[in-house]
Amino acid sequence: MGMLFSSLFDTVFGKKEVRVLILGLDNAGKTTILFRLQLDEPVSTAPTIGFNVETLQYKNIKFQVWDLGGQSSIRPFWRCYYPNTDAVVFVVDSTDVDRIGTARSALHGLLAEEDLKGAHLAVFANKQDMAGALKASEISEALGLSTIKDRHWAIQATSAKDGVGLWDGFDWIVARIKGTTG
Amino acid sequence: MSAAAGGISGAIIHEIRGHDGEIEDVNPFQGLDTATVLQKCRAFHDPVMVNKHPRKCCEILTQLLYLMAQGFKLSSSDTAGVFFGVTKLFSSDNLNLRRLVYLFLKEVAETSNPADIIIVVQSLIKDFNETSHEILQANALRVLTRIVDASTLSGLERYYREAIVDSSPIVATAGLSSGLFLLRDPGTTDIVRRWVGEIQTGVTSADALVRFHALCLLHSLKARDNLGVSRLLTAQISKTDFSSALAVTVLVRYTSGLLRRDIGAIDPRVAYDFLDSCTRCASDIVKIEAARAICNLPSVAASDIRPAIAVLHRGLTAKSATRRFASVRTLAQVAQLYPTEVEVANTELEGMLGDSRIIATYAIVTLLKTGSASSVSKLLKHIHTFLADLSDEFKVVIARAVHDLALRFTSSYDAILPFVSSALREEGSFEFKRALVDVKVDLMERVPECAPSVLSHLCEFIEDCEFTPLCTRVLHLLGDVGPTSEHPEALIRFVYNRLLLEAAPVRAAAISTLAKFGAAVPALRSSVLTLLHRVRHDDDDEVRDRCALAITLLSDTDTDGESPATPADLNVDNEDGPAAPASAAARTLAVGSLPMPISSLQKALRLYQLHPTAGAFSFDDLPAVEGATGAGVTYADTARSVAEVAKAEAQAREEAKQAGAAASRRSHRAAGAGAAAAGAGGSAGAAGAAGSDADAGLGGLMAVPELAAAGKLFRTTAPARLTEEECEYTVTCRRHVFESHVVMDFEVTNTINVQQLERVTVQLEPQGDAADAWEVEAEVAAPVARFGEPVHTYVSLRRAGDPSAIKAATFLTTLRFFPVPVDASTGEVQGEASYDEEFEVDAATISPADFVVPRAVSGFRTAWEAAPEASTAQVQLSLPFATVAEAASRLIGKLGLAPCDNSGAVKSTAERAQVLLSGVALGGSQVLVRLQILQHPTRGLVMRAMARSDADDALAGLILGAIDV
Repeated sequence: MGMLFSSLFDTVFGKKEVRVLILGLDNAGKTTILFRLQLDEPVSTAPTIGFNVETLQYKNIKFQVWDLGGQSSIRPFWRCYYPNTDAVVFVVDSTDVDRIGTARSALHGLLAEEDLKGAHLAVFANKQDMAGALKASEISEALGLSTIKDRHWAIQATSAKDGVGLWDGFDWIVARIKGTTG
Repeated sequence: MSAAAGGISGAIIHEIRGHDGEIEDVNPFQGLDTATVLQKCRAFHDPVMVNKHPRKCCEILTQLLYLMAQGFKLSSSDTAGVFFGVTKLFSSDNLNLRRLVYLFLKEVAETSNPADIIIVVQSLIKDFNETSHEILQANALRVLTRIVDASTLSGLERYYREAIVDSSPIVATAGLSSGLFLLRDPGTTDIVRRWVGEIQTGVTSADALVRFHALCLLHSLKARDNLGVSRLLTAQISKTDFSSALAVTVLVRYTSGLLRRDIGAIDPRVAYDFLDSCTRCASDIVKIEAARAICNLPSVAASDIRPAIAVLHRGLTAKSATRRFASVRTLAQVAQLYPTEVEVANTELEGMLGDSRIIATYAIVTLLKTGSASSVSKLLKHIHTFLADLSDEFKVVIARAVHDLALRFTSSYDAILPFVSSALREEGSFEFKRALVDVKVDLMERVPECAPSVLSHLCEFIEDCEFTPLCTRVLHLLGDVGPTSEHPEALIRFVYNRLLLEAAPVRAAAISTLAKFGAAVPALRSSVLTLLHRVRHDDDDEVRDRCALAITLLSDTDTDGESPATPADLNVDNEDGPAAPASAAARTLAVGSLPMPISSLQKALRLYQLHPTAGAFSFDDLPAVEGATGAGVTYADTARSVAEVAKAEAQAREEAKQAGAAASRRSHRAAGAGAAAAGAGGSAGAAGAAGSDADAGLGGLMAVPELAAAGKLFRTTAPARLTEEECEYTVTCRRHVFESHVVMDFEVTNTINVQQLERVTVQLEPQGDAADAWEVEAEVAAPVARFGEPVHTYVSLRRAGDPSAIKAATFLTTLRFFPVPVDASTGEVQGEASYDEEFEVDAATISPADFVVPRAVSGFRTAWEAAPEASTAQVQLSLPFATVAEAASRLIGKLGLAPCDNSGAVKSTAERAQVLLSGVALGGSQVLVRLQILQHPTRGLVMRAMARSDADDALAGLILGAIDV
């Protein structure tokens, strides 16, 4: 009902609201990304107990961005927020080599979800400003992105601290959304 | 926040009317279907719905809240759909919708899975921290409070501190009321305590509601600390402004509570002046609360209570029913103590009789307490008109007020009795009926001329009374008073009817009553016997037994003292205390009462059985047993060790032989009895050591073989504590007083779980004069005291010299034992007793009061005059007590005598009192004591005590020795 209703609505008012989920393991930088996008300045954050939801305006598109906590106690609740999602931003801490395997299984877990079937996937290889960060291509390989055949995906090197790459990632999302709605 | 919901549902009602022109007062949620609402909640998952149609979301959420208020609980399967749906509403910026979200979260916060609810924490913190809207901030904090526990609260503490000092009253109030909520958990309470500084600033806030909440929270934090509360109140009282009625009201209430807990906690003059100034405050709620507080002050002077009465008096004519109710209720309370002060309001009170029933009831109760003799009948007539409409609670209130009235205006009995009679015919609870019967009985006692009408009415009452206790009570009364009334024969029919119509307890009581008639009125005896013969074959054992006893006693009219009575003949009536007849003294006993409470009598009889005296049994032979706790003496015949019994018997016989042939007859009996006693006592001791018998004390006493010849047990005192309760070993001592001996009975408890005590004894060393008067004759050790199991050890003291002389004594008391280590968890012994240990405890004492038992005499003065004047002993003392009443009750306790002629009850305000006491001393001589206590203006409490005795001269003086103040 939701999708049908919303597309009807959009054709009448000509304005699209895009629902984006920011997911990823804890300490990946999800909340920092959200507030960098919103306020365009670095914010120091505490671990998110629950979620943040903010509205962003970009290129005449209204984004409703949900930043869900990445702690293992909160991850089980992610699924409650999957329905009606247009795009998923999956954030990876590029310096956390040890847990890249965990990130990979979390990512493939959510790609298998029925509710996220139509969602585009943008992977942010975050913390590029830090020494020892893996390159985007290395992250792509480690996450096994090349095996994803059923949807559009992209990987973007980002640094939430410096604000690098974030809007580029959203540009890709805008392009995909426009592509699907014609 | 409920106002928010109300506003929204109100809007929905309006909408319905607007569209359909519906009839008024329709509940928009009538017949709301739970499944439908849950289905609709799915809309929350649709972002478009949430953002474009917040009003629709509000409606659905309101319906959900309505269902929850009706008792619907979200199941775990609903949680994903509904609860997480609602969390998505955080993306809306619609204020009304967000407020409803908070309402919902507050509802589910405490019932939902803590793992689920944590999902909203981030959003709540953000709402508090980053939004500038005070409604969101306040509500977020209130919800957060319901989610946090002690561990998460410490991380969020700063938000609460910020909130409490926030410039917005809404946020500050939310912070303070959150603090009050957090006091429910001791863990979070400790954190709230750290906010006292912030809360203090709240107390001085310009906003009335903030001040109120801050005061409540501060008081709650200090509630257990009278000094802290006192400081808080003193500070507040000195700078009270009356702009916050609620804050002043709680201030008044706290002051009143503090004064009732501890009158000295706050300067009474300051407190009173504050309350007094509050009675002149503009706010009604403050005025009434202050008036109530003044009326509840302990021992307030009549002049001080007047401003309060004036407030309440004015309140009687207020427009608001609440204010009238509050005023009249407090007046009704205070009228009991200050009828003359309340009298001024009588005109207004009479005007309230047509008010609502509850207000009218209190008005009447007040009038009954303040009314004059002339208005009694008018009042009663008025009550009668609406009594039937009152709820039972108020009927009881009225009945009690009538009781007070009857006692004050006994001369108006001709107005009161008809009222009570007709009220008794109405429907009513047991309490109501009992209060009415009390009125009748008390009136009859005080006004003998109304006895015939009261008796005949009570007879009529029991003809149709559904309450067994009331029936038996009336029957007992008829038995006591009926035989001496003008026409006893007229009452018998009513009593006999009970035998035919009622339940077994009432039938049994009726038999006793009939027996009393038969015993007291010779002319009726044969008729009573005829009636009794008819019910001989009653189904109930008790009724049959009583009947058979009554027939035997009444048929046996010519015999007296020789009848073969045994203690078993005593037939105790459980309902009304006094007993049915026993022995040929039946006629006197039938109308007399028992010399001691039934529980003591039971113990005394058991002790007597263990150690009977020669000759026919009488109450005088029973020892006086005091304050024995537990289920009573259990002379267990279980697990009896044959060998032990045999040994004890042998010992007892040997003892009896030693006692010699001089008092041959007596000692033979004693030996026989002693053997039996030792047998029973031995088994009790065994049972006690096995830990199966907690109250072996009295039975175990008889295991002391030396006592077999000690004579009759005269008295057993209440246990006295010789150690602090938290000592390693606790010792209590009770004294069993015999003719020539006193047995000190020590109960020892070992409170250390890693050891047991073996061969436990108590060593007594007489101090001063006592060394000449008392000689330790025997010690009985307790073989082993395990952890937590009380054991008994005895020391038998023989009185040297004149066996009937009474001596006070003090003994240096030492507990001795051999400690043995044990394993605390298994109780297994881990070694041997190798050394003995001593543990000194408080001195054991013998008081002259131990040698008397309380026995009241009727007509003290006559008895006093009859006692030889030469025996008079006298002391004058100043007393270290605060009031005359306290001194009287303490001295009665010390002397161990019975107050006579109702002189024991001294009014708490009395400035002088005379207390008349009497008792019987060991050896059977009577002891009479007169205490005159006076509050001397300069010398404090002074007392003159005089004692007389019909025995030798020394006794009276020795008895006064018990007053060791």
